Amino acid sequence: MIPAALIWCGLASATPALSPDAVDMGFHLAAGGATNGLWARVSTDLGEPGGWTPTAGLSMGLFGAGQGYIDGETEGTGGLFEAHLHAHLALAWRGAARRPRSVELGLYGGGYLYRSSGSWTQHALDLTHESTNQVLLPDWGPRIAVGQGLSDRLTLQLSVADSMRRLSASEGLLGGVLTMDADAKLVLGLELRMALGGA
Amino acid sequence: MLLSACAPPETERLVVEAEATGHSMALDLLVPEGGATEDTPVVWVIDGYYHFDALARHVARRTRSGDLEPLVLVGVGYEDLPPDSMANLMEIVTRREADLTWPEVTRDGAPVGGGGERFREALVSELMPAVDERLDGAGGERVLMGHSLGGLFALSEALVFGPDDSPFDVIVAASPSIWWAEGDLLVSERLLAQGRDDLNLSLMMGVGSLEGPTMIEPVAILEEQLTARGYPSLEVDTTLVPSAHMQAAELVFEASLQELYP
Repeated sequence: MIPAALIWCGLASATPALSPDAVDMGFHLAAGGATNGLWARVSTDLGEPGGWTPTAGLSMGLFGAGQGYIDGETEGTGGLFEAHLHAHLALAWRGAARRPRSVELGLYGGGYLYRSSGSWTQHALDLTHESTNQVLLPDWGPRIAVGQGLSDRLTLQLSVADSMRRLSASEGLLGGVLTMDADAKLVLGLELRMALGGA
Repeated sequence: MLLSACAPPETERLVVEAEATGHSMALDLLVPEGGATEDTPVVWVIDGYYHFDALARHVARRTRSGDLEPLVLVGVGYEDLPPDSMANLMEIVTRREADLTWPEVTRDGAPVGGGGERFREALVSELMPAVDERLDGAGGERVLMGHSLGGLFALSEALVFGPDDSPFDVIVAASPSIWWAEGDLLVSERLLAQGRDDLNLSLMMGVGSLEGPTMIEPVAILEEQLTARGYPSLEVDTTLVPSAHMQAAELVFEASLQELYP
């Protein structure tokens, strides 16, 4: 979250028109399993409340998952960590009421650092091996968010995003079958949006 | 010319009624333009219904551009199970588990798998002669490629079924399911090593870096075990490709062909 804000500040200083006017923060859950974690975004509406406006943003997400199993003489454990950085472009409708409702339809794209570590042991043979792998990967997809204002500055949002990156829940982390194909996975978010600056 | 380069390569199909397995087997063939010579490599791909089409396109394209030596590609599949319906795809999952694995295991109280020896018998005694006949005796080095359970089968050919009399010169195992039967293949390798001071084997293994430890770690263990034997005639090459399980097949197969036949 802090790195996302720093990057945004860097962008904002280069392009004053993109000074952030809101921060979204929340918990993202990959439907059907896989990695879950915290997400934050800084964004700017290019128009005024009370109608549709283009909006741009930059987000960062930190996600993780772990799993283990025992099958006879074999035992496996593994863990994942992902750090995502995404750019967002969307059309947003934000009401002008005191507790405004909002709808956001957009696309995001970027990449993430994927780091996995695990071990596999065959007890009867007294064999064990562990390793760590790290790779940079792309990620993109559509995102929809709806919000209900809690006050003139705070909005509670529910979001749904389609991600190209998520693991297949049916196959699982330790089943060794992680998918990166077009069978994208839904990511559900519960977020709090906070308007910055003067009311 | 561009359209020609993008067009699917011309392939042909042989159908063999395999007595060893009782199945009607489909052998999809990609033969170089102008035919095969006695030096043309013959590359066998297990689970042809998954891998043959993509690999045939790759081989045809790379061969045409001069980046890959001409070779014969053979995809092994089931004639009675074309992968064109969900029912057939589910049946393929069941049948390949029965055919490509060894030894048999018990799952929920019922026996599962263990047909690897029968499948090997069909491959060596029935399918390979059919292709040899089609090629009029041509064909040089023989390569066996398999992915996942197919990779386990390829390793079983090298370490269990035919360590001293295999018709294959090179074994390529992509994301092999060494975890099968609680890692029994690792036991087989230890048994094979008893009283042995050499193993004539050229083995290429690969696994995706996005796969879980159940896939990655046993490959590393097998490589360590084999390397520690110090067999003079053994060549082992293991790579980690940046992919998930299914994508690892094509990446490992294509990289192996490029290394073998540049």
